[in-house]
Amino acid sequence: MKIEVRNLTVGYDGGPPVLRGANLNIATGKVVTLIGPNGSGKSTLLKTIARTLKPYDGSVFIDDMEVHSFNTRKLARIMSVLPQSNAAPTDITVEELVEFGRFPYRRLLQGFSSRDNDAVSHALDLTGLDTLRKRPVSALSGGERQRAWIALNLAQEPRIMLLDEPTTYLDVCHQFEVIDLIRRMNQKLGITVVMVLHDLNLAARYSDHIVVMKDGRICHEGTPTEIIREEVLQYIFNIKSQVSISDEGIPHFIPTGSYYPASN
Amino acid sequence: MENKSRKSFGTFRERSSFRVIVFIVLTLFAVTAFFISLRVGTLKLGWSGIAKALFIEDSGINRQIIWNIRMPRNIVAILVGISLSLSGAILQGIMRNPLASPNIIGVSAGGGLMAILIMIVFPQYIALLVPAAFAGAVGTTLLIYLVAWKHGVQPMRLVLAGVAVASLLGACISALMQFYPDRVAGVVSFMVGGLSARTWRHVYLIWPYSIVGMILALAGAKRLNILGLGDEIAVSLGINVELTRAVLIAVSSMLAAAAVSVAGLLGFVGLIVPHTMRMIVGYDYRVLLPACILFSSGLMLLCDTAGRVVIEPAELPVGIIMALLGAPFFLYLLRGKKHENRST
Repeated sequence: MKIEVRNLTVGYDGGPPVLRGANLNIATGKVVTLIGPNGSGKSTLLKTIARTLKPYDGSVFIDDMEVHSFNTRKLARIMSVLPQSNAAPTDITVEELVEFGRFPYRRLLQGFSSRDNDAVSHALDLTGLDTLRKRPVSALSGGERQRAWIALNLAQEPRIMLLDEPTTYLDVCHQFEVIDLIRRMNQKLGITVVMVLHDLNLAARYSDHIVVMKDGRICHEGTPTEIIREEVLQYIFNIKSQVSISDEGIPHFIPTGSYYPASN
Repeated sequence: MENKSRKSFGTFRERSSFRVIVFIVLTLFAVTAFFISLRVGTLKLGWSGIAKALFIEDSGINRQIIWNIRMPRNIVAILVGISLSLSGAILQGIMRNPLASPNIIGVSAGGGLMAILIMIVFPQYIALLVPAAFAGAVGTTLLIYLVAWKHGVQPMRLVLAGVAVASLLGACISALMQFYPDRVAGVVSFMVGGLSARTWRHVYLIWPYSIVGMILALAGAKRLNILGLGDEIAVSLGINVELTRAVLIAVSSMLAAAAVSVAGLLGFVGLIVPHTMRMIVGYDYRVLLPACILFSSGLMLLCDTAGRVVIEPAELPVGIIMALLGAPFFLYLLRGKKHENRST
């Protein structure tokens, strides 16, 4: 399932556009990460691909079909979305939360089928939540909770997963727990992943392709080694940094200071 | 797999058996309340007398009181209770606001204003009271929706618009009462909500709306659950959020309008019944809505009976009893509640 973003201009509530004329192609089966400063339009782009926002101009295509001309239920069987912050009722259990992922497959006057049960069990297995399925979501740790929301997405059996800052509220070990899981879903199930990340080193380690956004435009894209470079980081974030390449060939960066106020 | 999970961790709550017990208790509550209400009153009749009046006699004072006074009043009480509690439960769900209820967002006040306008200013059209109140309540919802609309409707804007419209309509009602102090008497009992002298005519007026509203609400239960997870997740799961929200608001408005037009501004039911049931049966609307139906029926019948008995032979309107008994009970439940309703 390839995604094509064509000349996309989007804003909120009819206000000034946050994203202006974005073009992007996302190949099937890749992990693509959107990075960029706050307010650069990353989440906006993701929400527009997710059909939560309607573009002012331009369109998003999934396998050559415009997202808004899709039957929204049919699209829900192809693409899942994990928003930035999520709230669940306190007393909902992990299993009940994940079962919502089967809603797009529900037929009128039909209960939960064995096919649905299998999908839910599979999603719980993949996310390692099998033993916690009867627990209330509110009693889970931050990492487990995020895994439960990802399991909901997986129960949709999507070909594309969109994730908005899936690691942001987590401590470092839970960050790796969640992002390892995402990478595994990509490798094992061939799911195309599009996500927003703030941590550039995580982005560098786990992405096939990085898309850099600034001021509502896509300004760079490429492999991690092409993007995580001192001069690129200076241009995007206005920071001084040292980039080193690990033994596995993955770039790492260490911020050493800010150029602010801009000297050039 | 099932066994493994049971062994590793104690299950959160054996939900299904707990729910069965809750529903048995609620059903008993509603049925008991119904019979108590049928029996208690100025005319003292035993069960056999009541049975005779219902099934054997077809004229006489007993038949008249049981079949043409108490029975329709009971049915109106049940339908009004169901309508208001479902309306409140739906509104709290879609607005994600625990305070939302038909009277707080102005739906009741809209119906009330029209009814009071007729009672005070155009008493010659008193026959039009029910349809006018209905139109007022539905019209108010439409107004709130239009005011809150800006490239779609956000729950928060909807609540705020509702509260503003409610205070505007409240002011209009107060102004009317100021201008016509001599005609206020009947209006007061309408404003607290009462069931006195409700007959089969009122049953016929309200039942189609209550039943259709009830069916639509139950059909929307799953969607209400999903809307509770947030708009973005709902879109991701293939729900047309704007349309679903608009339809559910229309259903809740129709339910509230029907109730207000026959029983007055009895909004409190719409606030406390859904909350009380949520504390007991949990978040799931597929369970919550049926629980609201049973509990509100029993509660309305019980409060109305109490109102008929406490200062016999005079009556206290059900709305007063409801607030006097309901508010402390609600506060008690609130204090016993251990944690907040939602978490991230």
